[in-house]
Amino acid sequence: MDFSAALPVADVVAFNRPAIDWHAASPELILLGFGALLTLVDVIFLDRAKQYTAALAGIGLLVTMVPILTLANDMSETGPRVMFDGAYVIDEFSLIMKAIFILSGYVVILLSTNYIAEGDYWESEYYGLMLSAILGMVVMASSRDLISIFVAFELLSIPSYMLATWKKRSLESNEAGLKYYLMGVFASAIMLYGMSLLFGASGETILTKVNASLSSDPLTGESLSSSTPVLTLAVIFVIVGFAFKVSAAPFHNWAPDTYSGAPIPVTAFLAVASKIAGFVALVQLVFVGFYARADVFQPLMWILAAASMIIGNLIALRQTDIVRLMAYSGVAQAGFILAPLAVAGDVGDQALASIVSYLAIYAAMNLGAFAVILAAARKTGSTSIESMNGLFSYAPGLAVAMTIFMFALAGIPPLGGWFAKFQIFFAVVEQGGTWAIILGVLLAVNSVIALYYYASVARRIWADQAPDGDLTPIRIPPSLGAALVLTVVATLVFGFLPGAVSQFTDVGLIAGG
Amino acid sequence: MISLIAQITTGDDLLVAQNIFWWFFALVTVLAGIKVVTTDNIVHAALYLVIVLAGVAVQFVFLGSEFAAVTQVLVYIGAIVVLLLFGIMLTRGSLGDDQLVDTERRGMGALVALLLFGLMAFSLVDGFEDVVLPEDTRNLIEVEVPIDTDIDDDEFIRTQRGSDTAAIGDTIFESYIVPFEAVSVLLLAALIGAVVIARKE
Amino acid sequence: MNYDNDWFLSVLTFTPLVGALVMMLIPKADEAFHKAIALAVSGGLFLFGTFYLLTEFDFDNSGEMQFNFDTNWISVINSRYIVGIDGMALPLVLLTLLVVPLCVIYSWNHFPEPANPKAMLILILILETGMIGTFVAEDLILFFVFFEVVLLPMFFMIAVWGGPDRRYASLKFFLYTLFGSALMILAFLSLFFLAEDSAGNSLRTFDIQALTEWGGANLTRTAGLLIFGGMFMGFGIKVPMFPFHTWLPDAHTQAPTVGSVILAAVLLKLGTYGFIRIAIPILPQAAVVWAPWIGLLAVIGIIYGALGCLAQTDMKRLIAFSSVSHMGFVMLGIATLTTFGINAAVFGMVAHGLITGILFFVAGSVKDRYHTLEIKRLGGLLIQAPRMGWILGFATMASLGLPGLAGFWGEFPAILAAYNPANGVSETIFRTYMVIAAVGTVLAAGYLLWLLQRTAFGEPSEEFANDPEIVDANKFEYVAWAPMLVLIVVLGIFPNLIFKTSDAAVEKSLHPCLIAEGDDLAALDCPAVFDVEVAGG
Repeated sequence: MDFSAALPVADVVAFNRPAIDWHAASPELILLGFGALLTLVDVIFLDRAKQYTAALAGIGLLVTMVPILTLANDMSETGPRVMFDGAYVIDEFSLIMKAIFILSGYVVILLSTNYIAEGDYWESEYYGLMLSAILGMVVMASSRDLISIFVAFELLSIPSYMLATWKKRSLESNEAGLKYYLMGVFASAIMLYGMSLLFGASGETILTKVNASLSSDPLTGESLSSSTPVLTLAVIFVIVGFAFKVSAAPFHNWAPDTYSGAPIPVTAFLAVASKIAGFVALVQLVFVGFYARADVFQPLMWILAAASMIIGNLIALRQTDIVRLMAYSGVAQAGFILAPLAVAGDVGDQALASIVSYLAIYAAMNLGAFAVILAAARKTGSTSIESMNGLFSYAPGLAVAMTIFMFALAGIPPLGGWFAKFQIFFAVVEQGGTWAIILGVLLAVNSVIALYYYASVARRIWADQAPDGDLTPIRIPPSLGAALVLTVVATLVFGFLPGAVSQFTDVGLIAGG
Repeated sequence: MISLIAQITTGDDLLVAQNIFWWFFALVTVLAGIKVVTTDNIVHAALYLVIVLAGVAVQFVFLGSEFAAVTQVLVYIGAIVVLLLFGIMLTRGSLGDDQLVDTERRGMGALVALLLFGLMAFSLVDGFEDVVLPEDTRNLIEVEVPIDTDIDDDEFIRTQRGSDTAAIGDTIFESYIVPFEAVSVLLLAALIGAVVIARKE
Repeated sequence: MNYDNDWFLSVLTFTPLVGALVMMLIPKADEAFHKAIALAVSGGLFLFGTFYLLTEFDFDNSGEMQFNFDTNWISVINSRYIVGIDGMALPLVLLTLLVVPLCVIYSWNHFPEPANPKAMLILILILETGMIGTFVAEDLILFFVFFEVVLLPMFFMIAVWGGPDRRYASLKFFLYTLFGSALMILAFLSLFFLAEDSAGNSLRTFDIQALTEWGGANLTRTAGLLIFGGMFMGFGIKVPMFPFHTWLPDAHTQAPTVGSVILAAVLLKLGTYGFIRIAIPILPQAAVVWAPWIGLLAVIGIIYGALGCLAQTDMKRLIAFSSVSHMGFVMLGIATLTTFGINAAVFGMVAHGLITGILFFVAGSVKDRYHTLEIKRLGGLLIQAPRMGWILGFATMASLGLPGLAGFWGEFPAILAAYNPANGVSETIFRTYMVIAAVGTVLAAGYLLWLLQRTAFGEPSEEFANDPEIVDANKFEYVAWAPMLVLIVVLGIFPNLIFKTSDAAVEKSLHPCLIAEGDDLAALDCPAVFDVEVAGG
């Protein structure tokens, strides 16, 4: 019997080699190259290479900055570079986010150098995984396609799960990694289900096309004035998946345990780079993929933002461990960053600019805070808030730095955070509806609550006695010192010359212009 | 779903048979799924999982998507469940019934599962109730193949059999090249990390 | 007008900050050097600034902004770096320039525990930048930033060098003020988005002068009231007005002497200055509706502060409550929305700054000697330290509003202004307030004389009778106090020094419909909210 007639005839077009813009792809390729080089060097030279791996990773990141700068330089002439039919885009937004990822990654490597070497942990593997996670983030910043976003998300998550357990002998670290892993996998599953629904409804994976199909009924083609259940469910699932990643309440439960159990540099990495990557994905999805469905994502974002601010702040008030405090404050900060998304449908440009500024400033001040925690823990060996007592009396430089970071996080002018918070207020007030104003008042009240615990830390540093009267100064290794200087300078510059940041963060991304 | 039942009752021989099997495998899949979470024996749970995954593969076949079906069998049954069984064997002493597998909160879990099922079922039915799969699910352009042809047989067959599998292969290396390459880095990173974590100090 | 002096205000504002940065680079051990730098910076700035302002400021045009400088700052939100000074800001800037070096001199040899002059002097200099910046800022966002800059140094001053309850007090101070400013920034942003000219074009500016010109036109009543309410929270908490005043006694009592002085002399004025520079000029219509409520809170503050004084056992706390009462007079003057009332308020701010400053200085010196401020344990200051006792007596007299001293010109015209408030503001209500405020002055006389009698008169109590530590004022104290004492007298005798300077600026800041009379008013075609109410109706 001849089955061939029953089988459909395929349209086999000859394989088209996709056009690749090598300049646009060079940051990723360089990063990949250095990751591979690191692994090779480790395999060939074994222990002799150990002391160079951190430096190699750092150099890799700095070299990666070069094509990012040249691309940014060319941007005014060439405009956004679009590859693969819109699945992978290099535009201003992606370049800024890539730069933020690379620089925060560099600071994390500076933080890690002594910590990992002195703790006798696995070194070259550590940096290798760190680079691959950063690669995931860099890819994420350009991904405008559901599948790319998902893969980038996993590429940045899976090394992070393992980095969180890097202190293998510590039970807390194991718990941290396992919790993070289980919650992360759960979030991925939810997100993936949402993506599959989206694909089912639209037949597309590229975000701009998804957006186009979300604005009309997939079956009838009529334009939709309100959402359908399946689209609502899809959008909610995808957003909830990322809400886990950015530790927005009520999906934040993993964060405090993971943060306090993981090695401190990894915690800084998770709290800053990894979280920002989650926001980058959310921003791309909301502004490019779901922009037509503002009636779905706006209320959802409103709830997530309000819940994160309130829950994060109220629990942070009761913390006795500084890393856990940072975790809950991070939940509250996530609420702040989500707030503009609740009004993004109406004031897209401003909402986007405010998020990008916030992320840039947030990276500087949060990394700085972790750098100080790390430095203080070198002496006190503890991360309880009490260990900060009297820091000013024996390490005035660290004390001033920590004060700057704490009040920057609280949003007190003229330190960096004020402009970030201001931009958020700006976007929310610009929308001006009743719900937006309520959100604005919630933001205002929560800035005050947050100030309470940030100021409490500062007060301990300045006004209290050192725990055991031990006033020996802290020896700060050069790499840690460099990280501190970088973050302090960035925080101050962002605060005094906000124009300098906003000039870069005023980017366009919104679907269809 | 309603339309499926309607098709059964109204006739169309091929569809009747297809629908009966569809219901049969769906039922088996669901029952096996329930057993996965209710059984006290973890090895049994893993084996029931095989049935669930196989059932899903069968559904893919019904949908005319044999590539997904084969992948399902290869990856999930062939790799993941086997890995799972290895994991159980390597880490646990007892392979029999284990009361620890049973949790006190199964009522809550069942409730959440039911709610989620209701929500998804409602929205899926609402969204896709009237959707009928196109006759040719592979959605390919017909190519006239003349009887008297110069094309040699090999190429002819390749052309005909070049179903969605080939299309998937092409797209992976065309528009999805970035995620594809990223996955390879991901696997390498996972491998390195897993070695470090699993190694004794 | 002079156009080649646009650098002046920026130099005035940022010189202290530069001084602070220089000091940060010098090691902590070199205390004398730090003191010298701080004194040179603040004192030099005072001499130079005062000289330059008095000679270059065009007093005939004191209603105009002078020494203007306007440049791009944050272009995305169209916020600009605009500074300028007019007759309303000038007295306050001069007050700030004066108080800071005096504080540096006062603390020369007795820094409160835990000493560390470097840190404390740096904080004082940063404070100076913030204070001057607030008074000269002509852009809402710039104003907001400077308004907040003063919070941090003050917080640390209280938290590190404060009394036993400093943790609680510093945080309370910080949280209250920040809560106000968060709502204030919401109000500023709403102005930015809602301000439209008559053609319906959005102004989208934070420029205070441009917004004043716009004057709340085309804004809906509700929006205007809400925005004014947001600003009211921001400024009112800082003043502080009843019922937001509770942070003040705690902050004052716990703060080190210098902190109390700066807090009382300048920081509280940031709030009242905000009212007369921003809230009332930009939203006159909303101000008319709010005025009776502001007036009400002001008189409650006057009476409550006075009664609170009578219940205090601690000298510093008593002075703090008297501050609440005196700022009530200032707010009452502002609430009348008249030129007369607001001029009185400007005078009241300066007078209160000088008088309360000196009271806190003396209280600090008393504390240094007696190690307590409990009124019932003190007494006989006139016997043990006669000169200090007389200075305390002088300051209390000035504080209770004795004619011929500065305090009088802050209180009396404010009360008088309440007799005839602005168009659209109920006369009946304000005349009632006037009577209540007058009662407040009697109460003020009561508690201040009581304070003087218990601390300065009488015999020294037994526990301190032969305490060798109790000596009369030393030369640092004299140098620090003398300029303030002289100014209290001079301003008391020549009140026009301030009134003449501020008058034109105040008049310019008020909407014509508020102050016009008779035919002029009819010619203006004012909105209904400004309707003149018949006296007694």
